Amino acid sequence: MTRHLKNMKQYRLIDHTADLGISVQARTLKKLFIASAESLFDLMLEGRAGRASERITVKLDAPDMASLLNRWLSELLYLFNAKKIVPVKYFIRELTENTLAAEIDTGRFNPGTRNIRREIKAVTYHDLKLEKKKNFWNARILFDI
Amino acid sequence: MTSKMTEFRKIDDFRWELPATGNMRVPGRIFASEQLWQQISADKSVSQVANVACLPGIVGYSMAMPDIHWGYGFPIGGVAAFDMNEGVISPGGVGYDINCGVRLIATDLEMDKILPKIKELSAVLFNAIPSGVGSSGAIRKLSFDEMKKVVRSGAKWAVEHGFGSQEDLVRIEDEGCMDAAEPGAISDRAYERGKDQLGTLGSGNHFLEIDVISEIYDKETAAVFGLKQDFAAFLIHTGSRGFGYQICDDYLHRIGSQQANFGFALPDRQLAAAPIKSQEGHDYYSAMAGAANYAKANRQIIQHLVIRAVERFFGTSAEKLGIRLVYDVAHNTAAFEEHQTGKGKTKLCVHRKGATRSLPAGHQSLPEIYRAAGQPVIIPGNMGDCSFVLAGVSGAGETFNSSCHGAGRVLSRGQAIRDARGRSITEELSKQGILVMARERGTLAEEMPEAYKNVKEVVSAVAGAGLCKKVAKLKPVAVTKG
Repeated sequence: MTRHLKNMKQYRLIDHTADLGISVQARTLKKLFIASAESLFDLMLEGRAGRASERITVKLDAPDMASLLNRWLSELLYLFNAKKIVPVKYFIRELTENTLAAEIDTGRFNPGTRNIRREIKAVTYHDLKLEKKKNFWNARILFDI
Repeated sequence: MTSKMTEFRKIDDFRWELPATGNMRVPGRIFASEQLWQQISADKSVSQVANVACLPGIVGYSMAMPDIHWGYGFPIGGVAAFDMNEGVISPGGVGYDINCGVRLIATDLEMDKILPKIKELSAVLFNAIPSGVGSSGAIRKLSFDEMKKVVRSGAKWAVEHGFGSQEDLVRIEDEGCMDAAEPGAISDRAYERGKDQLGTLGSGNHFLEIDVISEIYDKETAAVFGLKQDFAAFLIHTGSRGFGYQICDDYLHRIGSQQANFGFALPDRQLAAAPIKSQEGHDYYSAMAGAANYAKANRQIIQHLVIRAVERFFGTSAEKLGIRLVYDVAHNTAAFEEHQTGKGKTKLCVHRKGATRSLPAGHQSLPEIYRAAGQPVIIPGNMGDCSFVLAGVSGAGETFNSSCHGAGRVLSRGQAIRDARGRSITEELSKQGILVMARERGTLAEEMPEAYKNVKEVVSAVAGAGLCKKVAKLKPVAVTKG
């Protein structure tokens, strides 16, 4: 496993034969959701997000908290792939067992200023874990590459 | 070694069986040589074979080909067939890249004669076919209505719009179109992602190669397939791009949300599955067939772009260059097919996740041109080794007419990147006479030859198990990657 500390984003890469996984840790659930999102974009893109140009609203629901984390990351991946939207700053306004409401300051992906590291096709449910251990929330997420 | 490994027993030189225990409804069966078995034990794929065996309505065995490796839900290399009345269909049993597949194009270009120009030709192809993450713009952006026509008609749509000829269609599985596709089963999000990606390769393990046919094992079958030793061929590997990824994601979410209502438990949430007869099952199959058609159209358009670029490069027509499609096969699909079972000829839903359909000579679904020879089964290896053309044989009845799909990964992507540090993969391959061009930095390290199993060993295992026969070997000369 490799620890990535670039740009203050903390995640561990999990070795997976075909694909790629990460392990993320944070003190609160909201911070865990944000750290997971930042990790996803760090896996895909080099460099830092530029200036925000638009604030968007995201509202999601799911049968349980782990599924909600999957939906959150899948939503961000869709916005990036379909609309070239790159999150700059996240504001999670509400987070329950089944629902999430967030506002995100976003910019547009510019291939001239940021290199792509790799394509992430999807966020899988395989081996998906979200749990609290002592004072930290932990997530384990596998991506399809 | 995973705990499941100790439960497997060796049946013969190429078969390993896991007895049905716990919630498994059928045994597991993996096709592998002793040498490949040692590699298989290093990851979690064998547990995934056991997980698939727990799904309702599974028939015979939960199977895996010798290129099996750890996937998500199903193992990569997995094959499982389900009863149409009691069985299920699983988006995780097909994967995100629906109908990721390969297409082989033969030519009358002698490799010796074009080798001095290979760098220039490769650069022309690199520029002619968009590749890389989110690549787009190969053809004009399609409206949603036009996209729905692609979904209904697949490669037929491409041919009707000038991308290839009618003759190509019989050389594509299902003659270029799965009839079950229903545009209404697909979300606007999928259409949004797919509207400007037709005719693009994408990234990761997708590629366009110029190969030389370096060895012929079966002269008669190779002649039927139009394969001539020392001549050039083009190999295209890509799928349904963001369109397929979104459809899989949409249905994993929809079926996963309904799972409690279907009356069975899952050992892995990625195996979310709906009864074939349910509305969810019907809708997923209809949408998946639409994505399969999109992928067929995608490879048809890429072939057209390759041919136009090659014609311009040599200043003559494709006809004079002898460029012709050999066959186009899918690696990630579910399909309703008839097979012999203990109950006689039975319609089943066969999932192939990283496996190739492999029809024997005489099969009614084969086009007339290949009916006496068996289906061409195209197996890409890795960019530093070789690929194979096999032919389907009757022994594959055991695997619901399925064979392997490639070499199969052996190194994780992280390990490949670590192993590639301080090395130039491009230079190493260049020393072997293989020219490589890639758009993204990380791709070459993650896809380096050592990241894969020995494809010769994999192919020998499927041939040894009687699932296929070897026809020809291809050696890469120039590789274009996303």
